[in-house]
Amino acid sequence: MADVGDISGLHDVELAALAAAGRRAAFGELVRRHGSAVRGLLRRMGADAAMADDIAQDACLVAFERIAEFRGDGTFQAWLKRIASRLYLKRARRDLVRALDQDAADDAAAAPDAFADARLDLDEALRSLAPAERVCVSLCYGAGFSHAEAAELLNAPLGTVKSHVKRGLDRLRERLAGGETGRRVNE
Amino acid sequence: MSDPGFDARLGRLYSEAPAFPDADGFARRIEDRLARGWMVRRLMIGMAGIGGGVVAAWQMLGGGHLVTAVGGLSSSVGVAVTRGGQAVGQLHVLGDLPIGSEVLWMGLGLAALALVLVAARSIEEF
Repeated sequence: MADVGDISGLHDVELAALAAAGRRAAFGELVRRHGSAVRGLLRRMGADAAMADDIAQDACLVAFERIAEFRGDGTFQAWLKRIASRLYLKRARRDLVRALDQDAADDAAAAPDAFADARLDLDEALRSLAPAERVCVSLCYGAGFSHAEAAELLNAPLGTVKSHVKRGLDRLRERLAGGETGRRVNE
Repeated sequence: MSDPGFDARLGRLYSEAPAFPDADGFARRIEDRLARGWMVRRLMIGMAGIGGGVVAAWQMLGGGHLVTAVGGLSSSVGVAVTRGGQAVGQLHVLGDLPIGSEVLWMGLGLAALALVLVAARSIEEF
């Protein structure tokens, strides 16, 4: 049996093929490479740390069960992120449905002000978004779903998802630009 | 309106995975859970086999089939030993087959290879 040193140089597709043949060490290497990206995405979608780790673990186990379905058409990380996103939406559906139905004005009022510090990064900027905006933007830009796919996953009208994405992007653009300006000023 | 420059920047920001200090531990936990899953499967299959065997033995004892089966088995063993002896005595007939000795050796080699693969797989699994 190959040790970790042998498999660490392999491409994701080769590791996935080994994992499909039952090599758990190969799958462990894939998790080592992409686990953090999935955990990060789940937190960016709005899950707290414990929930994000829990769902990321479940997503990895689901991915191992379905590893034969991964053909290498896209990246392994994107495939794993999609599985994790679906699991998150399933678990947080009730809260998200309520958030999606809320009026944009309510969302804006509910959004905390996280901009006392001008040095902003994406995570901080995302925290300023309303939950619906945050999840819609993260589904489309973090997990790679189209607007239509996100609408289907959220069981929401396409127009609603598009408007949440637009509002979220507007706010992010403004905040991230503010961060850049602040950084330049501080430098 | 869509801003391709900002869209690309946002995509890049999302693709930058945050560094988690316990990333290796997270991967190990997944491997442990997978290993536990396999162990549970093996245990369940083993238990199902034992359960099935117990039920079968119970049925045979209850139906008086065991005595019949043991009688049949002993006569079957006798017949098998006799037939085995006859088969060994007929091994020289293999030389009369319309195949070369190299084919026979190749067949034996493949069988040995299959055994080695099975053994390797078993060692890997257990």
